[in-house]
Amino acid sequence: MSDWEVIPIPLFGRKKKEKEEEKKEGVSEALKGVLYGFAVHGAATAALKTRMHMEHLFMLMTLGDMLGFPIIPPYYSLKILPYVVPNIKSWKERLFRERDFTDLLSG
Amino acid sequence: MQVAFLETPSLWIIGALVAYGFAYYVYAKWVDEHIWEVSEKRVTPAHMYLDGVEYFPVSRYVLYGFQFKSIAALGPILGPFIAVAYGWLPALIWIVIGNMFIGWVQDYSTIMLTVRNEGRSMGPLVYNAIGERGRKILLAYLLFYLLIISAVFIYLVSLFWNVFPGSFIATIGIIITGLIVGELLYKYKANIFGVTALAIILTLISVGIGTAVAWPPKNFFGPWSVQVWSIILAIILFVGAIVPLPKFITPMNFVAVFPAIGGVLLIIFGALISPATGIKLIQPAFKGWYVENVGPIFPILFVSIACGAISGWHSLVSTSTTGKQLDVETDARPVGAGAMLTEGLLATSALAAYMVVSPDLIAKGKISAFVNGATLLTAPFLGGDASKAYLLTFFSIFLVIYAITVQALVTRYWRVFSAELFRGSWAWLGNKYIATATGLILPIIFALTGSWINLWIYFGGSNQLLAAMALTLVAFYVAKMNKPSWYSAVPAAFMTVVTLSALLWEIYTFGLSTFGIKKPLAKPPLTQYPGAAWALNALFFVIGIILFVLGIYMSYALWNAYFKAKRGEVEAKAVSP
Amino acid sequence: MVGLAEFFARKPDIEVVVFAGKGGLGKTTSSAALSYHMAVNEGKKVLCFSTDPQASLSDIFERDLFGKGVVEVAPNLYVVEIDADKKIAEYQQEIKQKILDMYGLEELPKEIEEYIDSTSAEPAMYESATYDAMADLVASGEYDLYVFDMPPFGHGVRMVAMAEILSAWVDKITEARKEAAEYEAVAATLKGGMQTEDMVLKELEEIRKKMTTFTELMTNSEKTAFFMVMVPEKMAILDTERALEMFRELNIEMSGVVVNQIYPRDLLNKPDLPELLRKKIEMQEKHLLEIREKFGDLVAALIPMYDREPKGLEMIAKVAEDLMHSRRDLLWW
Ligand SMILES: Nc1ncnc2c1ncn2[C@@H]1O[C@H](COP(=O)(O)OP(=O)(O)OP(=O)(O)O)[C@@H](O)[C@H]1O
Ligand SMILES: [Mg+2]
Repeated sequence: MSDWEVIPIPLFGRKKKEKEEEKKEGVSEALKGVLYGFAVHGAATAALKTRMHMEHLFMLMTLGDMLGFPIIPPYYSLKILPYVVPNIKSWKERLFRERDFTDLLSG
Repeated sequence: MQVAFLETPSLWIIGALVAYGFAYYVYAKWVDEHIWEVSEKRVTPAHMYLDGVEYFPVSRYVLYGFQFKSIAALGPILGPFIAVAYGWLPALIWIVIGNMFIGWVQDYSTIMLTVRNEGRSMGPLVYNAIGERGRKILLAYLLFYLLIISAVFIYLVSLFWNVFPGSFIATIGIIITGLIVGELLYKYKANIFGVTALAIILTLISVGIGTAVAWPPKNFFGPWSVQVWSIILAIILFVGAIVPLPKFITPMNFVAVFPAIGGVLLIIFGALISPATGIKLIQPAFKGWYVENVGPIFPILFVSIACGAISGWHSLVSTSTTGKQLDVETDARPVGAGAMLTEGLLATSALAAYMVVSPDLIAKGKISAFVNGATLLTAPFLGGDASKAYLLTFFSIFLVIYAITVQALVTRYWRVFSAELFRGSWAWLGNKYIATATGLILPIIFALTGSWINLWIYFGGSNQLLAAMALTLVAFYVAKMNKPSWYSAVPAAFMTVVTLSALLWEIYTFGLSTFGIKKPLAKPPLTQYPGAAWALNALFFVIGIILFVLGIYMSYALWNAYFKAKRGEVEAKAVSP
Repeated sequence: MVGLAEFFARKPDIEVVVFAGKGGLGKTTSSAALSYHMAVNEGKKVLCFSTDPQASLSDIFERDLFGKGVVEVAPNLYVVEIDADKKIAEYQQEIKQKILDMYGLEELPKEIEEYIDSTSAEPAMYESATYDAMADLVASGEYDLYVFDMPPFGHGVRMVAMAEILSAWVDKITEARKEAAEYEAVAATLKGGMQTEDMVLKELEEIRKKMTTFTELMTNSEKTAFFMVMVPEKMAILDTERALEMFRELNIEMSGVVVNQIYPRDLLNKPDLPELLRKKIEMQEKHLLEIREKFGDLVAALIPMYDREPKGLEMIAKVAEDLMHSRRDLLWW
């Protein structure tokens, strides 16, 4: 698994936020953050989660034979493979992670 | 008109602020440093398992806002209404003491539990402490808990719609605003600031239209008006639960945020400047140890103000989301403790609203008391008498959309839990449509009696019992770390006793009517159907017993685990469930 | 009147012809013959395509075509015999390179590499690669007529069945992906962030477009003809019946049956005819009657058994003549 770490892209090509930049605090930054957290963060997380479930489905359909469920012919799986390479690690991790009903609460 | 400072709620609000400050800057800081020994250096699950979906570091400000929004529901607003029946002083004392020594302890510590246990949520944490049966029972318990919350919230929204003419129209206006906002944001990718401004304007206009139209009048649908409203609400909620989140729930939540924040700020401000506006405290500080139809001050007071002092719900939020997104351990205090103490402030300000209305309203159990009080506190600096009608609608809407947004979430949880619980030949009960429908129909049936105060006490009781479990769980893990666990064990013990007693009290109350010793608890029009009223009372009697038995089992198992951990008898269990 | 000439007169818009059937009965021979006729006699630009690892087109045209790309073997007659293994290996390499380039990697993660390599072992890989190559060729629209000599696995109709399943899947996947993209957009809007273009969706849509156009073409009986090649033998009859059933299930019109390797009847008049052959011819007669009964009007062409293997352009020309205008003396009814 460790050789997966070389791929530096988080899920779905999200822009990695600059950690240092975020640390710079200011009242207006803080206020904006709180407001964002209050108004939107939950919804954004929920959307991401739904997105994740679909991503699961999608990965299963396209790369199912990686786990032993061949669904579409590998010729087409390979066509899509390059684009989903960064997601494979977290996909497998999430797939095999034990989930509990209390994990489902967010989103 | 100047009034003496002490005759207004102002002093008490300031006093509470000081107490919360102490809790945050002294007590919580001490726990943070000496018990959990938080460190910026320790890697949190958000970084360890970063997947950009469930696990990712979020700034403490964002997380604070999120946590507050997720934990602040109707609890801190309506709870004090029941509690004030004993007088405002007991309510104030409980809110302040509860917040200082119990509320934040739970919220903060459960975040830390998740952070220190690889991001595990409540279920696996319970599993690790007391095994699979405990986890299953927790699930069953939560299902009942969700049903009861639903019954309370659906009933209250229906009651508000019935009592405040125009509030329904304003609600529809806000729902339409939500739909427009959703389209603009997601379909047309409109600028978020512009959309926010539009949302606020449309919300204010909706309230204005509702006020102007002031229709339909009270009891529009005859004696069963509240029930008809609850069916209308159920239909709206059903649609909300089955369409994709971004189509309805998400934009609705987004729109709901602004009146919610605005309302709270206005009330707090109104209470603080009450010496200047001349709004006086007219509730008695203490009314008695026992209140008819409510019960004895112990334990009822402690379960009636649920979310404002301590609430088990928060432990679910802390462990399912917040703990997984905490950037550094040192953020746990501002996020967990900070959000809880803010909610304490919300409860205190709601209490202030009740302090200034006539004792009559409270005694009659008039739910409009909050709306009246909030209007009283805020009208003086918002246009005086001229704006009163508008403010009445605004604060009723404030309640309604708080309840609807939380209820929409609860309905979804019910569905998710049902799908989890019902397997095999029962799987159809977990079907999307069926689960959603049962999650709405059962609560409507529950709420038929109209005795929402009793339902509320069940809600508070089960909610607080969940808190007791969470606190015991915290004590267990702290004891396992060989750290002083009293800071969580003592509140846990208190909450266990209080909640089990409160459940017993309600079982006793419904038992009386079930066995024909007293008339069934019911409000008109159900009183005309004594058979149905009796059946519902008997149902509540049974539900009470179920909750009590499940609660006893969980408490016993958790306390047992705790004492074992204290004696150092706990071996490291298999790490993952 | 029997012969494919009549069929093509009826359907002048045919662009694709597929010869299917069990191994060794004459698919390659028929493909070559038809291609030759259309190109040389009718002046159409024809592409004859095969992925047979046995290199049977090379065999019949008596030229090394295997893995050589498109070769013009006679005026207007183009032949391509794909080396599928080589093609697959190239394709895998291309994917690997793409991953390396996209992420600026020095080498592939082991698991990915293993996964890509493992795909060549799968028969489905071979099948879908063939199918994709066919779709690409047809999409190019460079030729007036495409003749596909199906590989001997299955019946060749599997290809169409697969196309249908595949495009249904791609539909589903595309749908899921689109919905996912919507949620992604929601999250992105809420975060005030930028949304990246979904390359996967683009790729999927391309695959789907290719598939739907191809499947549409293949199932359009005015543009595509499917011929089953058979011989007058019991097994072949049963097989053809089964194939017909499959066609019906897939809602594809089977254009006709080509009956190959029929011994001319006048052989029976030869006094020195070996007994064994006489028996064989009598058996064929019985089976031909059965064929008439079972397939009737579907019988589109009759090809005699030649005294040697039909190889080389000259022989192909002869087969082409028999395929287009079948000899009357082969009609046993
Ligand atoms: N009418 C015929 N007379 C004599 N020989 C024939 C005739 N038709 C085919 N053959 C010979 O039979 C053999 C098989 O024919 P062909 O290669 O066309 O069959 P195929 O269906 O393409 O086989 P495969 O499934 O292996 O690709 C070849 O050697 C071919 O020369
Ligand atoms: Mg062949």
